[in-house]
Amino acid sequence: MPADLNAAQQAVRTADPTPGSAKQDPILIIDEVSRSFGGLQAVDVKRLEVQRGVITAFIGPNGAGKTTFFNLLTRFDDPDTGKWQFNGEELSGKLSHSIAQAGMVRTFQLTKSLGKMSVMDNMMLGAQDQKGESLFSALVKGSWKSQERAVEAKATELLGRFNLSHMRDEYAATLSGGQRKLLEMARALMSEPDLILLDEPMAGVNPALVQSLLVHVEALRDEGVSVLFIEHDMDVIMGISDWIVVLAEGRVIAEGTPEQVSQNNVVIDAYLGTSFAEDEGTP
Amino acid sequence: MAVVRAAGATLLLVLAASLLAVFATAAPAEAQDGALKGTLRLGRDVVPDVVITATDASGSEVGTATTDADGKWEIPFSETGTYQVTIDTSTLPEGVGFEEGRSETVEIVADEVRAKAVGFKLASADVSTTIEIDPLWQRLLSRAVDGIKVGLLIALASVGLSLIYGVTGLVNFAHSEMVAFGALMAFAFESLWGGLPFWIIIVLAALAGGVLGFVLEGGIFRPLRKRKMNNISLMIVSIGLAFVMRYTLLILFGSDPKSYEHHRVQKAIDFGPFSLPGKDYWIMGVSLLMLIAVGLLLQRTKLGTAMRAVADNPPLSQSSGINVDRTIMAVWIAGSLLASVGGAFLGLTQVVEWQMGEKVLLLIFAAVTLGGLGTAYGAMVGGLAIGFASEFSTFWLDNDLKFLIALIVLIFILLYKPQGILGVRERFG
Amino acid sequence: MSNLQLLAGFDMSKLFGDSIRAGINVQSAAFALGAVGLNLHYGFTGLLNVGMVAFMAAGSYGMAIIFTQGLLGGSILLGILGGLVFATIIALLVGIPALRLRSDYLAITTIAIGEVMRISFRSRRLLDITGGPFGLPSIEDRSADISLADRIGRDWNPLFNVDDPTRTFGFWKLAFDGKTLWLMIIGWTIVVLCSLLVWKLIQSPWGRVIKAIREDEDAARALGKNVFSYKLQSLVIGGCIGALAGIVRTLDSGFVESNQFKPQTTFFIWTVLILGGAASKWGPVLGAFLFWFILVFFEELLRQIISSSSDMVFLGLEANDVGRMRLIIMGIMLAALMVWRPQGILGKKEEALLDAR
Repeated sequence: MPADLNAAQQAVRTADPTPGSAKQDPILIIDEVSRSFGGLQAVDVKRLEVQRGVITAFIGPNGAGKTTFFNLLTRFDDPDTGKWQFNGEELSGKLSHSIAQAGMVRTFQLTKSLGKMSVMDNMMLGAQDQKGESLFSALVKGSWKSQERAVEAKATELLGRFNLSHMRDEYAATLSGGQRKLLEMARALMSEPDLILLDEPMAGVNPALVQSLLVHVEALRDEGVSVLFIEHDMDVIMGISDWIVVLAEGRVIAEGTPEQVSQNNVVIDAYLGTSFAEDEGTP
Repeated sequence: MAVVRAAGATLLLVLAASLLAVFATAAPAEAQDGALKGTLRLGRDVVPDVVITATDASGSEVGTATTDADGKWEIPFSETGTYQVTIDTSTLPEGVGFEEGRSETVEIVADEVRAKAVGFKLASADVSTTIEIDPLWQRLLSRAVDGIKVGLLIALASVGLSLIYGVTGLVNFAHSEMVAFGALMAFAFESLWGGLPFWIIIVLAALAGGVLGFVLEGGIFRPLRKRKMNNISLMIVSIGLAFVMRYTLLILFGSDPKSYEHHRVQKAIDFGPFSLPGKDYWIMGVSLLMLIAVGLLLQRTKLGTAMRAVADNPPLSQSSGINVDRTIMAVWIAGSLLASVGGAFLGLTQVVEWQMGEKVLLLIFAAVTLGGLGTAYGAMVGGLAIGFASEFSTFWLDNDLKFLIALIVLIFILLYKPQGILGVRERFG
Repeated sequence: MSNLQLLAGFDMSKLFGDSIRAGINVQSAAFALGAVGLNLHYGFTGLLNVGMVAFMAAGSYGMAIIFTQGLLGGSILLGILGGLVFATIIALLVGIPALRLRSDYLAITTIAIGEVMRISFRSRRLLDITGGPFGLPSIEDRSADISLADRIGRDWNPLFNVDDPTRTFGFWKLAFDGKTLWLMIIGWTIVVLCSLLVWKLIQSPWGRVIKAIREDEDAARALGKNVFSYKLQSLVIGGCIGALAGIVRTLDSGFVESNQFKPQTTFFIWTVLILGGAASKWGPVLGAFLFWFILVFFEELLRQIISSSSDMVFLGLEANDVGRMRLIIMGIMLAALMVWRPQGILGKKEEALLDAR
């Protein structure tokens, strides 16, 4: 076990590697979440705990229900059944914007950059609790001017970190695919989340950029943000995740450290052995 | 959110209930200003339940009235001018027409704003016929049959709108103009070649509708899609197109309400408890057959499968060898053809005029939303339901207010089942 | 040679004078105001409101009914406030069911409510309140013996001179009587104030959220913004500005009638907005001027061509077709703008190009 791991990483690595196992300090606890489309059971997760302060990866063959699961947790889709607690707070009855306000922020597989707004405006939108966002204060510039300056300073700093400073006044639509992924991640960080859900952050990104994206994801963890992400590329997952959850046909079939999962026969049968080859071409 | 929704629903319920209460209970007040009025008589008998429409010189409708149990009717007007007062011949009792040299339209010059008497000269084909007011159940039944008839026609007109939305994502605001186009084409073909059997006229009108669908898709919407215009912009283009079509029809055909020569006066044919003019059986039978044919087309043919596949997932169907452009074209042609037939038939039951499209627009949109935007079967069911509900409601409500029913249905569907009764559950907002 | 003769037959002063006059008249201010409201809806928030006329009707009828019924003591300002409240109710009624859904549904609902309001208002069952098919030909509070038109055009009008009531201001075809000029000043002042209000909102963090919703409402939602609430706010504010458009028109005409609220009015306003440039600050104002200028110019040109031709027919069009051509010209203008110049005159071209990506 490497010596430079933080306490949370060490804690999760000692957790029981069976589906639904308890974690030492869970940030997210999921119970009986299910969703079906027509006759197809897209998601059916009995129990899942996500450790705070580490990078957790969701993997699984195409159609395993990973993105649907994300959509349910952030209420971009409605579950048929289920409950989930975030930071001890019950979230299942809440709407997507309240979930984001609670500190659980997501990105999308197909990036949603706000094309006809500047990169800077995209960033500033991410900040929470802005006074000027309420209708009546909006008309009184004095009431939000100082906050606006603070938000802008923070956005400038984050843009610098994500190598987007030179684009700050450009329309977001003019960014390249990789830059959009960076922007979306940076924008999500503007909201100071406790948990960030990244839906395939490396998909469709120029391979040269993948490494820098990975560095950013690791940097998030080192700052204390918990990361949950979906990824296809097995090598990427093995390299940076602290814990891996394997989904197939909507169920959690295995969890464990990268080493444990890569040696798990169930995983090899369900995922690596069969569908992985077909899976490569997907965006 | 649930609270907002409940509050919204309550608000709506209260509004709907109070509107209905106002309209259903308040007695019509006496006219204070000008009115066109009269008593419709046939010999010594009065004729109830006949729809009379007045239009002004510019062709816009001034008002509509239905003769009451005493044959009396009244349409208010507020300005001096020349008015055309027209009887909707389809609402006349069977076997009743006009005296030699008289027609269903009377021109009135109102030089002052006051009551003007308007007389029509009705004649009966069978002089011994006496008009009786039917018992309640029979009038309800006849409304119900009318409702089914209108419902079938609205269904015909709606299918295309829903299918076009399904395969392209475009809400085509010009679709309802196809209805007016079909009716006026039938009228034009009949005036050109009056000797032809009427079913050939209907077929010609249908073909004209198909050709127009071809031209609109091939000449306007396909090139614009290729320019990558988004559907919102295309929808606005379709709004502009609707105005161009509507007012072109006005310039070409004028504003006066028309009716076909054929089937103006028909003897009723008894069928069980029903007693309907022969044309009504035809309208209902043919419409139903056409709807069934659409169903078979979608389920049983290669083209139908392609249509459903494109509606489901255009890129995927493209990559699996379906010619998306050709499928969309087929949908446009079929949809426009159906709407034209609906319009041509609608012209048999109402007046034929340039505003027909505008008048059914609301019903068609309510039907398509009720059934589920993008589903063909939904549009059929929705059309039947909306057509029936709005027509049947005229038993209690004023003729104009049948649109209120459509709106209330529309809003309730949006609140409680936005995917429509036959749509697939989809994630909204 | 014959071309010159043809031109010589034209009354150029009337052609241009009438067109400019139409462009700056009260009617044009009312349309500009409607477009300012629609700009907030469509240009900034991306809401497909195709029933702006419903809000205009709410404003006009709301004010007129309160005034004629003497409900609030015959106060014009309270009447206007009542019109705005009515428009707010309509916005909530439409927005609560439809704003949670895909944008197409708002389009269908708004066009429906506009038509239903018009049909309901003209119903004879409401004769005592809305005047039914007759409308309210003169808006007056009988108990207090005040007429809206007199109050606005005479009592409150600094340009009105009792000794010389027919005095006109201006020159050439642009001479206006005191009442018209006064209402033009009122109308265009409200236009400018509303434009500035909308612009101020859009430049604030509130406006940033609104524009984000236009671009991608899921993204806004994922960042913790209550999209439904913002859309409803936008619908209400834009709807109230639309109600003011109706009110300005009613103050000018002095009567309300259901025929003033046909769906085509909504599409005139759409054309005004697209012509001037959606999402721009002064697009609605420029759009309204140009729209009326173009419309009247073509109509007058056509009329002069027809009356100067020997058989009074031009391309198969007769004199009474001229008014009908107006709607065709409008339809072509709207569609053509959408295709070839979606950014309008004042909109940013780059933004329109970004759309096509």
